[in-house]
Amino acid sequence: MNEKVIDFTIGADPEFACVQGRSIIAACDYLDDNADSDFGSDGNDITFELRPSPSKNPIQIVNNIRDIFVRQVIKQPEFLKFKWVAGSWHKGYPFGGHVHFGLSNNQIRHTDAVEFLDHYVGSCCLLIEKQSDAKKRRSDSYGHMGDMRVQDWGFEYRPMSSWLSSPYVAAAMLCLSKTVMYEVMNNSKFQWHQFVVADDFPKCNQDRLIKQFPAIWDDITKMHLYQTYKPYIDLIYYLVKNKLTWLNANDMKDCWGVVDMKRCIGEKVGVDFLWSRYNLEQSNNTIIQ
Amino acid sequence: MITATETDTLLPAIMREAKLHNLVTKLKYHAYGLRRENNPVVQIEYCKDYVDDAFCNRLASLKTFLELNGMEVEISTDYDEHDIAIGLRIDLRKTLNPNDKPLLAASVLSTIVYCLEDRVDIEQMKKYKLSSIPTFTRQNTDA
Repeated sequence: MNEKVIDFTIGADPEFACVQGRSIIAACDYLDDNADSDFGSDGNDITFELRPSPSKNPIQIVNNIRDIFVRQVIKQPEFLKFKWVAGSWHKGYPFGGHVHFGLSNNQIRHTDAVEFLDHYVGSCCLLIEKQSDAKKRRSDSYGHMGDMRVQDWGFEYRPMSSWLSSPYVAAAMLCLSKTVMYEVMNNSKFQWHQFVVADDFPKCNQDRLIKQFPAIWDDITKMHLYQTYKPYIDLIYYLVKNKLTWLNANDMKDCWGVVDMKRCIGEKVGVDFLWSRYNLEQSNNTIIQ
Repeated sequence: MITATETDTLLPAIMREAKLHNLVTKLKYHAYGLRRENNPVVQIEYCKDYVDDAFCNRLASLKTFLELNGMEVEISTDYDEHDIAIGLRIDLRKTLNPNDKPLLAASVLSTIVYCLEDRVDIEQMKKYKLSSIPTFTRQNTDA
């Protein structure tokens, strides 16, 4: 590792949709027109978009996402009656799982950074997406190799589809993103390899990429932060090896543990309950200098 | 969700003692540290656009409770974030019990959050006088 460690924040604006029966719910019918809300809608007015606070810790972002879901169902409990769906595409609407990096172009050229992400994060993402949906999402201009957007705070990596299907998948993709970029920023001696080609993205070329996966995984496991986030990142290995996708049999909101929160917020306590520990030990308070 | 500035003196310990990490909340809160000079013991900032009238009533009750117990509070609506920011002054944070735990600040923080979430009996709270609270005075450095 380089002598001076460069740490950075990551963030995200993943998308999902709500479905009732066979109809997709329009986000604009349920949300105020408030661009800075953390639960908002994408530009198409149909899909919902989450804007969790950024953090240096990817697991904190997963916590922030769950908190947004929880506060939303407290505010509008009718969301619980819908089925929530994420992934690549649903009923004509593509879902993005863009990841944000708080790194300026002076710290790293954004085009270079995105290239590293494509070979390690983009490739893994393609391997666990549902292939038919992944192709549909990328049939237009979305999610191609090198897709990124420069922002005031850094840059946005855009090829990934929405990894919101469960907190485990979200943690895996965010931790992998942080691990790869941390290695880029802090280990100038790392032996990088190239695995994907531009065609792999629109075609979701899983047959070709699965042959590359042992080498991709070998590199990932050598990265400095892999050991820190191993419990989360290893889900990707499990899914790829068992030829599973990141979609699961359960409703997305069940996976996130988002249920009717009335019981959690309804009970009142007496003020003496909140002060009982303090009152028990009230004598001899000291103010440390 | 309640978050805190982890680098501010004793705030991680205060959050731990307040046992607020897993509390399900309707609003978002962030606790941070205030220095002694020119600051009240507790400062609460929020944006009027994101709260309702009942919130303002609860806040008034909270102010009554804290001032009854010698803790000066400043409330500001001049805040453009979605969360409620709770500033705790350094001398409050550094008040430790005999087991070296910041229970006073932890209890103040949990009272603020429970009150603003409408999860505490505010009529009882307005009259609740604690028997042993250190004296907190404001330190002004203005000329």
